[in-house]
Amino acid sequence: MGYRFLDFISSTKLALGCLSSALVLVFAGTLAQVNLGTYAVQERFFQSWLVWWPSESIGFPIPVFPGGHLLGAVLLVNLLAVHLRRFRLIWHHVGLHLIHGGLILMLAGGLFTDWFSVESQMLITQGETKNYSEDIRRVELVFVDDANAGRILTIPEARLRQGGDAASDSLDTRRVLQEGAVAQSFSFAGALWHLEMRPIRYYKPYSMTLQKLIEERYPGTDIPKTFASQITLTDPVHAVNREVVISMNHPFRYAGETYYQSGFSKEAQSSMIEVVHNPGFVAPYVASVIIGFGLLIRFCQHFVGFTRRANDLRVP
Amino acid sequence: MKRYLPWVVILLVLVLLASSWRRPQSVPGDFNFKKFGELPVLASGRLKPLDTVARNALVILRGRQSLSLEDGKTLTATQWLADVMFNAPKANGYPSFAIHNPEVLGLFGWLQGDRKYFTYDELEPFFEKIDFEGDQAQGVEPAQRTPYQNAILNLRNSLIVYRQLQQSLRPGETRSFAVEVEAYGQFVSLALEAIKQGDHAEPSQKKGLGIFGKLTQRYQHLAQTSSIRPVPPLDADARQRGEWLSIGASLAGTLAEGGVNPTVKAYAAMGDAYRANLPEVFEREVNALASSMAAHETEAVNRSSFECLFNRIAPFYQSMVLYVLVFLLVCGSWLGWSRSLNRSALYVAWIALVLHTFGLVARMYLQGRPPVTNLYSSAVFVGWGTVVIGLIVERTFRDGISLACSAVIGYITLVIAHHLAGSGDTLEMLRAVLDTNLWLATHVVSITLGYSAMFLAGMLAMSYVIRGVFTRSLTRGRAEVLARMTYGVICFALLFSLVGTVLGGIWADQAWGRFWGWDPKENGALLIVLWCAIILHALKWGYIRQRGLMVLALFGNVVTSFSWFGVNMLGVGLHSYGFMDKAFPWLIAFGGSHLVLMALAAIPVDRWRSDPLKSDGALRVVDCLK
Repeated sequence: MGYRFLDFISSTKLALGCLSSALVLVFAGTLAQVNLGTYAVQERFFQSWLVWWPSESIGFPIPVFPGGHLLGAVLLVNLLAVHLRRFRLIWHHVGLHLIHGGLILMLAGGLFTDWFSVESQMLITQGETKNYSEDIRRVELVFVDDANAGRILTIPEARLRQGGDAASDSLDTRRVLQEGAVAQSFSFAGALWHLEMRPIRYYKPYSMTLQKLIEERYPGTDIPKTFASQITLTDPVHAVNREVVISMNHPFRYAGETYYQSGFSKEAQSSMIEVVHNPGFVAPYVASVIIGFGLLIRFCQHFVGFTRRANDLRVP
Repeated sequence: MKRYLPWVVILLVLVLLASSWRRPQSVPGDFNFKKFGELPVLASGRLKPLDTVARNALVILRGRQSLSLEDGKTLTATQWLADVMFNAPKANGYPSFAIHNPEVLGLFGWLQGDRKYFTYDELEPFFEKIDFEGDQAQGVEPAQRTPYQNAILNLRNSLIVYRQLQQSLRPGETRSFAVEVEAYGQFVSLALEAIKQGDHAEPSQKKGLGIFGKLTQRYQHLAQTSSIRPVPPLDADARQRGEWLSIGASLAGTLAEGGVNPTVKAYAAMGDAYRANLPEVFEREVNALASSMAAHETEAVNRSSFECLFNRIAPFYQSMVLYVLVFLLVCGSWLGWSRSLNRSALYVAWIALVLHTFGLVARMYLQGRPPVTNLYSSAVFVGWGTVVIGLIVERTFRDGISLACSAVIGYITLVIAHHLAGSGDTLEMLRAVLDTNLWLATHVVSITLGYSAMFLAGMLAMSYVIRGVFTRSLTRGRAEVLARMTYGVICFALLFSLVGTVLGGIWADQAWGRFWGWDPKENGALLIVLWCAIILHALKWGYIRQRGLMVLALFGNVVTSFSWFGVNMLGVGLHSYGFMDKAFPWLIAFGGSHLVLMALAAIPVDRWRSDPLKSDGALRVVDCLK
């Protein structure tokens, strides 16, 4: 049984099956973006174990296809198993090993990124200072105690259910949520609290102030040439206070986060900056270098073999 | 004869090419349109010669770069533009507007007859109708519009383009613009005096101020309607930013500049001479302006005259014709005289490639960018890449097959490019997101080379299937050669697609902070990589053999066309640099025809006319290398 499983997991059929399924999944996921949008497709098709069909007639969703994580994980295991079982150090195969090793690293890095990276946005108007970014796709419930220097308690969306009980580490269980709850206030423990639903915030130990929006268009057209945000970065912990320009194709990296210019509004004098925290960002770079070396070696081998063969054939 | 045939063919081709490159000799006593067409202006954010402005406008208006009149005469684009800008009454009688849609014709009470082109004068009574219908169509989502609505919007756009050109160099009604401009200069100094004196101004100065105000309003209006900016800025700052001015804007700013800009005066005098039918005066003014510009804006003038040369040579059109010739010569070589016809085909292919390369390099020089910047240039580059790869393969196998296949793809991609150019300037400015030469030169180029290789592999597979099923010519040896070629080209495709995809990921990480975002265009590239990987692994592990390889390579064409065009039609994602929906039926037809070919390939081999698997000892790889 164990050997059989090992045979299966390191079989060429499984590898081809995974590749073909990946092809179908990517194709379907691309078409689905027309109706669902890129973000929903990412979640449902690529960052999931199974793709579910939300069948309304049956009443419960049914799994119809392996999701991106499942395919990626199986392919990763398959690649590893094949190489562990059949690995022989033959000079002729070094290039191929490098290419596949790079792909293993890239797949693993991709899975790691999916699980550990955090994307959020910072909408900042001219002159405004912000020390947090928001994830507009997810919400949290917050209780703010205005009197005590804005003491805040938060409950993330995952713990909230409509009409149910919400639990937080720092609060007793209590019925809190009604649909579409806006700012409401109540007294508790001798303080006036107000509660609101808002996008999840990620607070930073530093702050950014938008000084100026820079926008250039090609003369006589509406085609944007560049747009950029001039920002003052203040980090009291590291005694940093300096000017930074974030522009299209030139993001700003600070404290493990990448800030890039994703949009702006001239009327509102505001700049939309995408904030990405990706602890696994090195993986694809290392993988690319390994794959590049592998391809180079492979190419040279082919080239040498090819000219040799061609000469053999031509000499009478 | 047979021995000299290749040289005869080359000579013929070169003579034909040289004759079309010849400078058009200006007839003495006629207007010097060539020099006029070389004058640089700023339009759509780019400095370009008037010749290009004229050609682009004509392409938008009537789908071609020249205009044939009813009396059989043909106007060049520049001649047409000169009439439009300087001599409106005459130009309004030219059949400048193409209308194909019967419903649009019906709107005007016209029947669909043998006329396709209409004049401005004919359309003028219907402007209100066109505007009304255009507004209605504008309210509909682009994807939902009917052919009629698209046609009416195109017509309205054409009329706007035409009006803007007409209102660019001189205001509508003026007897002599040069005199008016001269007088305006004097009113400006009177007005200056009047402003300085305040209440103590003399009556003549006050009157001058009044006329100055009225004229300035007139020029401000002209500035709003103008689509081209022919006046180079005088101060160094504006010159640095490349902010050329329209005639109207320059005139309206005369007070600040202290006098009428000499370029404005030159264009005014040029227009008057043109209207008065004085070719010598026109030429003198054009030459004077050209030499003064050459002194101050040397770079712009050089590029501009080079672009005129590029327009005249039309390298892509010529290489398109040559690719057809290559294909015919190769086909001929299979029927007889094989050695010399094959040679001829090879030489013509080299000439075509040189022209094609010249076109690419010329565009790079004019734009200051790597070769692929939009969908149009990607089509041109795919064709170029295919021919390069095809010639490399041909050097090894020398049986003409890859030459013929790459010539067909070269031709088709250039036809596609020609149809993508319908919106006017193909050297458009790049949006901020694409404004990086490093990644355009590496990521985009290698992805596009991947497309080239995929198409070549697909075409080779196509020839395998068609020859095998319908002819007796696919012997075992030939089949083996084709399989080797296809395999090699797919390896090539995987190499470039993989490198391109990884580079794209690195660009995305550099620019957007994430390596991969499942954007449609990214997915398209991944699909090609996956498909190549499937083919090569299935072959290596013995799941498919020769015929299977061909079937999968055929499907590779479908995958590649989806990745190239299909994803752009979805209209989502960060890469939407080339949205287009007109090609949808073509894409479906392309995919469908490939499915048919794949079904043909699936017919059992004993029903084929050839038997690629039976050994006949006729031709082996070695034979092909002789």
